[in-house]
Amino acid sequence: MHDFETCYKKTRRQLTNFDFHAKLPKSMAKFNLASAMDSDGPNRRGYDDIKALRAALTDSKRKTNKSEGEILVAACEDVAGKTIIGKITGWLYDTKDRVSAVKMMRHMYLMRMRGSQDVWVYSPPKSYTQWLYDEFEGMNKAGLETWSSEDDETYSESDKTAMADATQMAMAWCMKCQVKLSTPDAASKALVRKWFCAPGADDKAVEKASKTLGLGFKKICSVLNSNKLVLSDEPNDRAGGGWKDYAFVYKSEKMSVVYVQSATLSAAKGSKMWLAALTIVHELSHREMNTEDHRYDSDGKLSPSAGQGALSAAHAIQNADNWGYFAADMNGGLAGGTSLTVAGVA
Amino acid sequence: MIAPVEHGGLRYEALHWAKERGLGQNGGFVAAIDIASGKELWVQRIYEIVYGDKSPQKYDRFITTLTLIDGDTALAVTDQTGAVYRLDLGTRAVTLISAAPDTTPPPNPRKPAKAEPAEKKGFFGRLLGD
Repeated sequence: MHDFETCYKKTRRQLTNFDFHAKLPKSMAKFNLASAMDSDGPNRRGYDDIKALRAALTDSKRKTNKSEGEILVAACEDVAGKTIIGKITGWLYDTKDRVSAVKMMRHMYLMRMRGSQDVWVYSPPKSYTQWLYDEFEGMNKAGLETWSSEDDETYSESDKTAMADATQMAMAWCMKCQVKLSTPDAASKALVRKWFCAPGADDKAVEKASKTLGLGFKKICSVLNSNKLVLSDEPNDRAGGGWKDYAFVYKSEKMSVVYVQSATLSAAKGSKMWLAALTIVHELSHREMNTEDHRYDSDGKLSPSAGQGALSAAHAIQNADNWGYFAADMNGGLAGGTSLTVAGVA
Repeated sequence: MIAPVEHGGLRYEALHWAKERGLGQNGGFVAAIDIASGKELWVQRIYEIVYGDKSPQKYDRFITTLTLIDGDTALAVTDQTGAVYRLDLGTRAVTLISAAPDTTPPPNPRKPAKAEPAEKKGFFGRLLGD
């Protein structure tokens, strides 16, 4: 298991299975977790049940003095396992898979952005170094009870808020880009020239770049507006040393997922919200427009007009950082010094 | 940008943004430039980067140091992971001097061990049970 989508789909299969619900004690079965899971991604209509599940776990821990894992395992055990029917269904549906499914939902958060848009955050325990089903693989009941009690999450409350704020900013930027690129005025054309066109490019070249950008930002806006965007941890990558990075996507993943890592969180919480928003645009351009990383901002001269050593126009339109910086620049999100340093031109 | 190395009228530079030049990967190339003419004489790949399904920046791996070694007949080339390669400046042959250190985190001591695999009973064995 290597991505959110695979984990999500397995969880959805578990939660939409009739027998699964039939076997749950009433205390758990009353949460219709499956209602939060559409085939193409999470749905806000089931979020009250996820919140109620979290509240019930907290309440149950307090009242029973049991660990979260003990409560989850007791709730998900094959309670009909002593009967022949129970043994058949128990064979089909393993307790640890059911615990994984409920545990996944317990760590899903719907972050409200301004307006009516939402973004989902999946924040599993930071002690997990694999996706849930792999994490619990091979554990006996006692091990499962211990390990599913882990609850110190990868993203703190302030991380989640910062991620939602960055997504909100990215969405506002991209919507403005989409509008401005539909009928570019002189200022918009100048920005297209700055970030994407060779020196002295004719109007036709500017128009062509504007059209490509317009199409791309429309696709990116569609993802940001979908209420199905998921900002997730990727435990394998985090444990493998990738946590220091900004973010990444899996290009082949059909669901809209951006894996947000520590550099983005540091930027968002350290007075560089614009850089966190830019990262979201950068990553979504990889997903939606199959952009490349020909060059990063740190090496400068992203503008094809930046003279010797500048990125070519052909590469600029394919370069994810050019998309991100263009969106920021279009929205006045860049300080003059930053724009000059990164683009290589004012 | 890392410091280039000069020797025998040539300057050796790490070529960071090789994708721009159609070389297929960012990082992992050394270029030799004639100092007098400024002409690039050759570009040698030191290691291959295999790009997968993640965003490309996850795979980019840049050279971090270039050092003359072996009586200035070769360059020691270190990459971001700590792996060190030897580039023979005469033949341009590349050999691995030392692999990247293993950065796999130790297992979490709090994580319960896997249970011993149960004897496989098969379907009817499971039915008839314990």
